[in-house]
Amino acid sequence: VRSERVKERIKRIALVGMLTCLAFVLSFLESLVPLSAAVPGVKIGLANIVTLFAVYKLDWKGALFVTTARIALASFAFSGLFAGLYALCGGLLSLAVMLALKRWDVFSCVGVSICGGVSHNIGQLVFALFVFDSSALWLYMPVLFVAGALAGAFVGMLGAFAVKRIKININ
Amino acid sequence: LNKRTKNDIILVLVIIVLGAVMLGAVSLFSKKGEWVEITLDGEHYGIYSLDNDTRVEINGTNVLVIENNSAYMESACCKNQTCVKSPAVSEVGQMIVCLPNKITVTVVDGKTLCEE
Repeated sequence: VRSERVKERIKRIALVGMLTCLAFVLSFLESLVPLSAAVPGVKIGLANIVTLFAVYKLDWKGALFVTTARIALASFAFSGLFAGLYALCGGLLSLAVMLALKRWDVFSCVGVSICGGVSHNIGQLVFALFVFDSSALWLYMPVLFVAGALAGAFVGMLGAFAVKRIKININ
Repeated sequence: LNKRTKNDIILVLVIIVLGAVMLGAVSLFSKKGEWVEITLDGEHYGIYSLDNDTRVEINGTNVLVIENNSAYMESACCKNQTCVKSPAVSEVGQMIVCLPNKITVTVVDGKTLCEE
């Protein structure tokens, strides 16, 4: 019985580590495509496919680890400390919203991801409001809102596919 | 269609409506500015009319260009070039920020100018 539990733990550690790596790689791939130069702050957020997967396949602790570790790694490796703080604000809010909505269970994976995308951008905007102390930033709200929903829908469809097809069950 | 997918569709419709409402609200409140104010290290540096096309050299580090009633940063000596990549500003409250050189460029209207 004991060795069974140890096995489960090892499997879980391996999965969390693998997901963190995958999220990091997706972050890096996205940083190579300068989409955010066209409209500041607008990104697809490919790494959120992994966050979504973690929300559905791991508990909240695992999902939290995968998200924060990915953001920390990305900010040390290429995006910078300031961008890391931005991403952390958006990432944590979006993760909290997605975990809550998954538990509430009224939306499918795609709906959960759309709400995650929108809340991600709201979190970043609120952080920017604190940093720049400029109420004019609210003008970006509609753009960020719609962009978050679109990105969330795209990520949600890919994530739903992964959640459905990849048969892993670890708690 | 199961219940969750139906809820997803309702969610998308709500988001579209909310987005449209916010877009309407923002375009109602935003208006074209007349001036750009430049600050350096938190201090007032200069103020320029958006009506006159010029090039402004800021402290020898950045170059701001004003043309067609909007302003954009043409060059900056810093590494990240965030302010150069940020889009041109023309509406009241829009700003360009250069963190490394501590420069902000903000669009203001005539009224706020008088109050200061």
